[in-house]
Amino acid sequence: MRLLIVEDEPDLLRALVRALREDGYAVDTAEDGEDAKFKALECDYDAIVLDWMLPLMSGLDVLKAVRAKKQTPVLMLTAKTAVNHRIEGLITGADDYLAKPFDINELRARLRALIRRSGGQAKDEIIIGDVVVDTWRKTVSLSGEAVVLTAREYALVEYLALRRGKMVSRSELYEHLFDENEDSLSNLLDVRVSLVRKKLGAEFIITRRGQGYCIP
Amino acid sequence: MNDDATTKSGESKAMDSRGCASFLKLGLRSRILLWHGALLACVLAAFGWTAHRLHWESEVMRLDRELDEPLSVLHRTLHAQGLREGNVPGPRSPPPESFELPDALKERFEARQLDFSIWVRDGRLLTSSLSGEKVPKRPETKDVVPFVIQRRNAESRREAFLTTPPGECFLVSLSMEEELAATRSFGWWLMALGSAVLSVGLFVGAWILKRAIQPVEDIVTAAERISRGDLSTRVDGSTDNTELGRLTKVLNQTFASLDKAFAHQARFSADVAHELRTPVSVLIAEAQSALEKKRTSVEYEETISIVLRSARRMNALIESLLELAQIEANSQSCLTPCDLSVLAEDAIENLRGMTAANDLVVRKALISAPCQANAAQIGQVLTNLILNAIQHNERGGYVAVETGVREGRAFARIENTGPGIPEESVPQVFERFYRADSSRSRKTGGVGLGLAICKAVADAHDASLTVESTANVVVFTLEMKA
Repeated sequence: MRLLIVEDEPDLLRALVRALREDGYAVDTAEDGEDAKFKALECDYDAIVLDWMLPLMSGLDVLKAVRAKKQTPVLMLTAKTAVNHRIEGLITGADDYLAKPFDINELRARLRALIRRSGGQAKDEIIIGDVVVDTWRKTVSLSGEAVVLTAREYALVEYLALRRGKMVSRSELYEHLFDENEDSLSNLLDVRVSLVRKKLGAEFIITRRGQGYCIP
Repeated sequence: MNDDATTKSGESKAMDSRGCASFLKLGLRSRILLWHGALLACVLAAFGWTAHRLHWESEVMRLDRELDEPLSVLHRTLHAQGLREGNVPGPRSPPPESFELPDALKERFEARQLDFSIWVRDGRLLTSSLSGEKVPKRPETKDVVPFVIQRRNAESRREAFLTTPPGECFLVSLSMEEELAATRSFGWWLMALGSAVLSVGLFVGAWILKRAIQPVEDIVTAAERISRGDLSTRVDGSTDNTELGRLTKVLNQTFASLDKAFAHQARFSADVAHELRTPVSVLIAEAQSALEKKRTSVEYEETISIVLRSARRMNALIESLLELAQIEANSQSCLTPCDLSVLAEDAIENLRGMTAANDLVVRKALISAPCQANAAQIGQVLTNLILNAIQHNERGGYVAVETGVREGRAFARIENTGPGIPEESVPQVFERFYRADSSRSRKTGGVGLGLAICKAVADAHDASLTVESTANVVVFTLEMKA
């Protein structure tokens, strides 16, 4: 899952990035409105956390620009707490609104809900045969027994599980599982897929040459 | 029994006081109207009674005049009759044995519906135009002065009589029925007229009162709305030079300043809450994520330094907001003679370290500029302006500080190189928490109140603080009042 966090306060940005990276998200950042708009339109993020008051361009204008072209889930995270601001933000196209100061676990839960919804899921548990993926606790179990996955392996499983039955291309996986700072060495993904197959069974993820990967 | 009486009188007293209280409880309008009505009714009643009385008296006088002549005719006729019967002429000659009114006179009397009666000195009724029970009683003549006409009312008749010294008594009378009826109808007419005047008077009075009281009603309505929290309400109505006009004006001014004070207070609270949210968010997010699992000591150190930075920022914010609130609360406090050039010199001296660190040249042109001011506050303004000039400068740039007197007004001019302020942002630079470039000021540690404080101080001194900006030069000018 790849996120864009737009926040002009460096300390807050740092804390958010640290917390969300530890959750296994690939995280990109933007500190002003122009940068945020560019990145949001350039990449297909799974969700965007957007501040309202930003240098160069306000968060609301960024949101308008994004909504003109994309459906990316957007969570407004702002010090503007008045009801009319919330309403304005939601009307403009935000999917959720969280006022500062906030609890970081609430932010996590809301982000998770946004991503789950945008993948068409209403529950945190995805059941694929013997495998159960718990997207809130970020755990996977096989026949009732917990399987230990690294954060990155889990992210791959979750991404494919949310799009079960769909063919997901390698480039899409690269775009959603790696952030802007990571070198997208082409075999990194293959290594990760094979590790997951070892833990959850060879048939858990199928490969179609030239098309990508899929959880059937 | 006694107890009962006292209880009763106590009760009636209580009733009285209740009545009084309920009268006082009536609205001002009703009370004035009541007084007005009562007064008008009294005056009309007095006039009506007088008119009625005068009318009646004039009717009676007319009747009396009509009675005078027949009375003397009657006397003369009886006297002539006595002479004819051979009585000795003279005032004390005896009356005739019988008396019959000559036909000519009788006709005259009947035509005028006059009745008459004559009694002789021994009290015997000599003659009367009436008979039986209708014959009037002989008037009491004991103490009556002879030959002076006396009058009296008997039922619905007016009677006039006179006596002669020996004791003969002549009486004529006229019916007053018509006069009584006329007077009664005149009375009714007066009452109708009085009621009409009273109701018109009350109506007009109520109308005038309503118009006069209307501004008070408006004021009450406005005050009620204000007490419900709608502070933008103003009293409608003229603010001319009448008593209520002046009151309206004063109240509107009061409401306006109240509104302004509340708005100011609300904005202050909103500003504080808003500006504190970001550092508090940093604190919570940083601390929460640091506590989630074991971290290295380097990470902890980093977290603690961020926490400290946020706390310092909050502190700076609180201090600045309090300073601002103080300046706005007690403007015009302790003005002393001071000199802008000296204050500017001090400010430059205090900031020497920063100018050197930023590789800036300071150009001074300080000419004595005496003025009346709160030296500490104006010194703060100059420090803030110069600090602003340093922070928004570029490497190798300059800060030029000039003071002097222009058109009798002391001024200070602070010029700096650096990126100019965008034209659309110029009117906003003095607004609280306005930052032309937010991330940049955050890095310099400003809280966005420096220029707002400067403006507040300038306003408190009736001084002007203006800004001009070109592409690469920004000039702030502080001009004290003359």
